Amino acid sequence: MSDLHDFAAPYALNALDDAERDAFELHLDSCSACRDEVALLLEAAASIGLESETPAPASMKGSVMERIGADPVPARSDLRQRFGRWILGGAAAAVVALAFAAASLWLNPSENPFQSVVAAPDAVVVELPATDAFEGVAPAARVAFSASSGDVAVEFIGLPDVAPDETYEAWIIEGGSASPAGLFRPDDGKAVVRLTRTARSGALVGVTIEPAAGSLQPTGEVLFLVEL
Amino acid sequence: MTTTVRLPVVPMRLASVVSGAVYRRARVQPSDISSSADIDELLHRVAIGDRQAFGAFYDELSGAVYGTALRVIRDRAIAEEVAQDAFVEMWQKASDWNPARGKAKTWALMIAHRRAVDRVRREEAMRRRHEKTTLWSVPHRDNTADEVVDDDERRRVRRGLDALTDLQREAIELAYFQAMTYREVAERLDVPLGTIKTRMRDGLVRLREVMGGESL
Repeated sequence: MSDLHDFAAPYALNALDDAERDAFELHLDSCSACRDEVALLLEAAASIGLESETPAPASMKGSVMERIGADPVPARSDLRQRFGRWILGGAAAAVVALAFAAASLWLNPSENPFQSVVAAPDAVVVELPATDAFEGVAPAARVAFSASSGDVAVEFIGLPDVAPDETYEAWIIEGGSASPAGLFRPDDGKAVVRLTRTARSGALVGVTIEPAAGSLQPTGEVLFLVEL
Repeated sequence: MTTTVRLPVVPMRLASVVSGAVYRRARVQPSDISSSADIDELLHRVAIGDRQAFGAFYDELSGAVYGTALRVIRDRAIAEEVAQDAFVEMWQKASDWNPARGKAKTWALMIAHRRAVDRVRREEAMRRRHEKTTLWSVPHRDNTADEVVDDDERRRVRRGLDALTDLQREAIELAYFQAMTYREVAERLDVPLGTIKTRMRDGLVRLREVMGGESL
């Protein structure tokens, strides 16, 4: 497998056998040169398909729509739907702002990752609403976001502790996929987290509880969600 | 200090939250494929379970997806089956789509083509097993004549490929249309594996040059 890089063209043409395809897809995760090459070659391959365009049988749409309608949304896509379902209105903003005003989390603001994002000239602060996944507790959170740098920081108060084998995990959801953006645990209900990856305007920021090592895709219930 | 702020939960319609975009007008002709950006936008919405967006996404790409499957499989009934499966897979995997790795249209056709290729290879494997155990040969494809795509249709897709050298085109056509692996192509043409991979790559790069601005 020394020549994995050469697999880009056969891959784009679906001309690898299953084992090679799996190996190359794994390789793609770590090789940005191959990713770029594949993106380009796939477009070329797709153009062959586009030139083959033939009107589909009229009945086909009905069959497809019926199948996806009857289809319970599968686990991974379901995540997005759940994330979407719990996007909240801005009604709680003022209340949460008051709560934060009362909570002096950091004696020295310069050390606070949240404040360092807020310091960006284009920073916006939005509430990060909790879903009703919490029972009996009502944590509050807010997000600072700088569109120019893409930096995101989140501040929580009243956040319940998690079990020793669990952690909170933040997510950035863009283009239909959720990417891990940092693990954290509250200290006395408080947490301030600078997310480990940047986001673009329109991205969603979400939080779930995951096994202590973190997950690559969210598995826990969505606890917070907001659109940047 | 009290932190017992209870947030009201206000579920909102997904479409209005994630995107304020409005669907484009219904498309007029099969070849009237909207810009890639529109289809990308639709797929973003499909990813959060928007069935209406999926309907529009289907309208944009059904001809290309079905045509791709038909071109590889050459049997209308099986091609429709494969195209349907491909759309269902797109619905299920929409949240896996990564726009940084390619446009929605490219992603969709990759899925359709892969399914078509897998189907042909599966049938070939079954046929080979069958031949081995029965000692007599079953026809390669048992289509009745009117279900098979005629040569005119097949020739139509050659426009972009005509820009390639014969060797490049041959390598790409055997893979893309005949569902061969690059090893099988190399064997068929009796050339080294490396040579085949190079021809495929050079051919695709050339194809992108001549077609890039046109339809993608």
